[in-house]
Amino acid sequence: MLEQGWVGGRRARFDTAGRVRGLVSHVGDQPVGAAAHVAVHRSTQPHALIGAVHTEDALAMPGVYAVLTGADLYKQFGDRLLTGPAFADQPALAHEKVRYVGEPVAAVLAADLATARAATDAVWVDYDELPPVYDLADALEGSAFVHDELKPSSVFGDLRHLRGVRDTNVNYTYTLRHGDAQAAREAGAHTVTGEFWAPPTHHVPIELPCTIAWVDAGRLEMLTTTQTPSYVRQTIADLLDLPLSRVRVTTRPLGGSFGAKMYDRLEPLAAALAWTTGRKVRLVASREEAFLLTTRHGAAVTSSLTADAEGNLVSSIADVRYDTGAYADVGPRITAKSGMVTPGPYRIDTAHVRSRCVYTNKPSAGPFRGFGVPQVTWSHESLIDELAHRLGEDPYAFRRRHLLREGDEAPMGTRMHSADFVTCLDSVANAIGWFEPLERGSGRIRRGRGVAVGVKAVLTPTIANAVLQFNQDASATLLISTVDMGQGSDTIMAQIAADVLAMNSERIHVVRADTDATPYDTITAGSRSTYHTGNAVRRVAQAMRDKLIALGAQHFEVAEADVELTPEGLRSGERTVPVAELVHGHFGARGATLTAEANFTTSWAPYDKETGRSEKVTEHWFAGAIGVQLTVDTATGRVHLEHLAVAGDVGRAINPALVEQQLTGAAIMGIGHALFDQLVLDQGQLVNGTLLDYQLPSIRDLPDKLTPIVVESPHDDGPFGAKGVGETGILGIAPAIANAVRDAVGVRLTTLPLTPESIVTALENKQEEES
Amino acid sequence: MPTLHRPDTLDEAVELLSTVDNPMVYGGGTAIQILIKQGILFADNFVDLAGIPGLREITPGAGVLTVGPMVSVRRMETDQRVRAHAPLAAEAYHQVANPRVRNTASAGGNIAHGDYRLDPPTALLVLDATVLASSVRGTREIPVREFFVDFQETAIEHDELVSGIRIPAQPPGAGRFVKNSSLGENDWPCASASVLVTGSTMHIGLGAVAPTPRYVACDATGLDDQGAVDAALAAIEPELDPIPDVRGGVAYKRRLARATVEDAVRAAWKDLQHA
Amino acid sequence: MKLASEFSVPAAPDKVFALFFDPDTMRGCIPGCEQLERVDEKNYRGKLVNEIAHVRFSAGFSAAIQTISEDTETKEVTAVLKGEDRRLGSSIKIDARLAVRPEGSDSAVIGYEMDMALWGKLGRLGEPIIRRRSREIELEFARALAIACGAPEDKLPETKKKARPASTPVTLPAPTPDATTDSAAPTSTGGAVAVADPTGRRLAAAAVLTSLVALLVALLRRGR
Repeated sequence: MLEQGWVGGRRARFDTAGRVRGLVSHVGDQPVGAAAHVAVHRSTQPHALIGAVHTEDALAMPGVYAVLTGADLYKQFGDRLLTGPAFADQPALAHEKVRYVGEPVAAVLAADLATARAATDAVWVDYDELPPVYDLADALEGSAFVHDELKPSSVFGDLRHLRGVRDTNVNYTYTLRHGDAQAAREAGAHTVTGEFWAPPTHHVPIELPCTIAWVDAGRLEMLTTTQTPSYVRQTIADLLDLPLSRVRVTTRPLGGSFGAKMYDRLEPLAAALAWTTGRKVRLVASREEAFLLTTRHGAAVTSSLTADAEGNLVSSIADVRYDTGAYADVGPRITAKSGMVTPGPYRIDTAHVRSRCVYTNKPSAGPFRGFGVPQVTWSHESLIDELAHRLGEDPYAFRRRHLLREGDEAPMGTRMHSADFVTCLDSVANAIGWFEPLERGSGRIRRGRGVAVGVKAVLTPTIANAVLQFNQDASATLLISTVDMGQGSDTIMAQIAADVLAMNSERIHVVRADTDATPYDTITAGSRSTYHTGNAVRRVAQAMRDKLIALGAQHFEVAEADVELTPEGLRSGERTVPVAELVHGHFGARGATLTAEANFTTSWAPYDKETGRSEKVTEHWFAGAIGVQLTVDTATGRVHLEHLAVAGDVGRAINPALVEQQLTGAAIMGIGHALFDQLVLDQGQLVNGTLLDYQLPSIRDLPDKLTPIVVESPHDDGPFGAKGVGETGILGIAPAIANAVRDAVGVRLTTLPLTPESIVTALENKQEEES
Repeated sequence: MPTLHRPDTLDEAVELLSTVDNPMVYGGGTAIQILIKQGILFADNFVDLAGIPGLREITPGAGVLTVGPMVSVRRMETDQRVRAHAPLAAEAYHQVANPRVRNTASAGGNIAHGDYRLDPPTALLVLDATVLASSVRGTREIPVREFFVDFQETAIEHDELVSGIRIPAQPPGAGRFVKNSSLGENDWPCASASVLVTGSTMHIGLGAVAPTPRYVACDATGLDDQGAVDAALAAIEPELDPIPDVRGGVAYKRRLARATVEDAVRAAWKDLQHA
Repeated sequence: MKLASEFSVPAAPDKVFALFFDPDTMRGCIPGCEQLERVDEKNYRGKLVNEIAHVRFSAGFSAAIQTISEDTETKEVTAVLKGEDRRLGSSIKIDARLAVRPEGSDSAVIGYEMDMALWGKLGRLGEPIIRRRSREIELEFARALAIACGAPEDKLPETKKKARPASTPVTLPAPTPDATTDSAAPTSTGGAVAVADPTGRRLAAAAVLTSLVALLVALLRRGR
């Protein structure tokens, strides 16, 4: 039974019951005592200069403590008010101009939230309208500019050349040049092209973002819903011009996030308000406000894929435009990391990608499960499917022939390791019965199958640290800054440490992130924690094992090599001493602790300036595949998923049950993105930003059968060979479904989501063309 | 802050409606709570019907079932008397939203909401139900076929409340309710239809395909299933007047309305064959 | 959101076109328009007061004429209209194009195209309501304009549906005064105002659209 809690064991996550029953308390559940509750007055213009902000009426309302504007904060903080992970372009409150409908313009502090919200309605603003940049076309046409000049963060050397650039909405361009792709395309025998669109979407975690900030003895302390406590500490220290030691950021378990709660969300505003007023402040986003905090990038991809007469892939060309909205956020990083995999996980002779990050007057786009890769996977998995059809080849077999194998160099220059695309593809094809005859249907209901493959790089370089306190009673306290937001990180980190220490994983408590106590960790995102933090945890546990063995050697008076750590205790030959007894003997005290610490850091080779290539662009790869069998109702256009199989190469599953859940959860989220989930904007206004109108998959949208498949191709440097899995399952869902629709009814759709309306429209167009 | 009133009697409730400023009747609250949270509802006084005895009763009468306004949608779905008396209505109530909403939402609030996409009105229309509207001036009967006046507007006056729904017994024949969404399966319907075939007449109630729920009837004498479908589609054509929105354009919504009605008619015809 | 439609009025294009620039006529034609004044040659401002579902409301608006071309057979004006409701944290902006062309001897067709932006709290729930309410306004406006053009009032259809279903008192015989009177009031159009596209009829004239802000306010305050 002990092994259930070790590496490879299916231990249930420690907090399932508490999360389901509401016994795990979240940030929003914390009592705050006497605090100022903050509500935000938001812009009613997409792009305008701010004239006077009229706050008198709001201030006169009983219970209102203060009303602050962007100008007030700018007076206090100057340009430090502008923050962001790549560009310092994002003010906590709009300063001088507003850049999207719903942007925070003034903050009301009041005795309670209802009063604060009522008072925001009493604030009004004089605007001087500017020409709006509603979409990518407006932005690239280039007559109006969302930002007067580019302001890359001073932290990043690779963005330095962009500083001060004016008259553009393109804040970053990544270019990949591998061979002469244009010439290869012209010389090729078969070329397929496409104009692809993946819309902006929202994460919709169940828990709403909430931040509580206060000043304590000259320090800024904060309890907040964030995936990035270490980042937030740095940002707040920069904003307030404080040493890191005077900023404390703590978290509680998050109720889901998917990228929604990271980097600069409510935290800079909360810190600025607490610091300026000296009050404890509490900010919580309403569900409607949460839709405005960050979104997934809408992305347009114009692309082509070319084969020679023998069916070899000779050229991949793509122009990718990520709509990052009013603020760059992490868009430039997404633009590069996703742009580089736009050709897909295939052996292709040449590739040319231009990937741009573009400002528009929309809510800012930021990180979202998949980090921009699902948008380009939508392109490459549609193209290769169409090319297979064009060549009269089986889409599964055609992909399989061209997939990258172990040791192959991808078009962007990095070799493949522990990325078993072939096994992933084979397993989903087998699962959905690809090789068996298909009853296609002849009337209104038509049946089809589709597959898709996905590739994504892990965030690199990053840093992870772990501290382990081994308690005298043979329990342990693990200090890491990974944030458990439902993915189960606290459970698997305990499993890694328990495996090394041959102990019961339930006796290991994982301390939630607190920058005063838990060590630096880059972020909990990009599926990086299992590999990076997992390695730090493995190392810290090994260091602790070495300490225990050293104590054991002293105890037995033998060489360390003759001592073994077992579940029963330290053993040398026939002799065994329980760990508790050993540690008690060492310190002569109950309750004493042994401490160890460890670090794990990865490195990369930056992109070549000319070609965008790198021999090590990432520490490791995620490889996944999707297979789907579905029906299309040709009268209504509705898609019904009969079976969806999702496979991911995770290197080694630390906990197969949790891996299956991640694959399944990502697949369900992807089903929404494929079929109906999108943020609809009309002239800068979000028109479906409520849960009455926004579409998320419910239990009734799930496939009749959903099969998660764990593929294990161990990574040489992973903890026990493991890699992350949070995003692998989402990459190929939309194209797999679109490919199955193509198989079922013969129409190729290139715009997501695949609504019933878009399907019947395509069917009608096809009938017209045929007649 | 709005004031919440909890009257103990219906007389007290209608008295409040006629005297306080900008009142709103509070039933199950499933619609009102959402609007409050969105900050777009400005009623000054809520009159909560929850504490008034008798409003949760289902009362059988001579060929008529009288449903109190606070009877939950869930009970309309599950109550044996409703299922025996008007199975088509029970089926439409069964398909409202989800169990959590059905447990909370009230039958009276449901129709008072007046939304053009609601499921139960389609069945109430074909069954020719009657709405009871009470005020200080007394209680009047409004045929449900005259109840839905315009987009989210009902025949209920500002000082009135829905005090009951009278549902006649479903006549012999076949009844079917079908609804289709255009995005998530559990989304608001994009088209819904109740079809009741009784004797030589086919009654059709339509939801979500015009600014109000619509009712049409046509003669089904001597028709086979295809003939019935053709007759139904011809009958609904003048009533289709969908509002384009994020759930679909006019052409798609018309198409979906026709597919929905066709499905309901075919299912009803099949029931007749097997009856 | 784009809206477009056209309808006929019984007057020559010249006459109709001139009426668009006359504040007094427009004030009488725009449903709920209580104030409308010409600030200068190109700019107008006004106030809409309306009552829907027993709730009174008011909202300010402005209209700025962008271009006027009246030398051709089809006369055209473009304007930008803006309105604001502070309580609901919402603003509206409409780019409108309004054209008048002759139809036979003494009749004109008014056509319009609108590109409407609705920003703020209302923007996320307004579209179906706007599309619906705008039809009603078009009818009212078309009727008023037809009267302004000299059409006999009694031959025009009623537009605002005051009709209430017939009621059967069961306890107290006290129906509302209009409950039994005009339940058969026509809701289709006919007579002198011929709406060119009865199913697509939406809005009458540019200025009318600003009243939508106010209509929405009323509707939502009613809480539906």
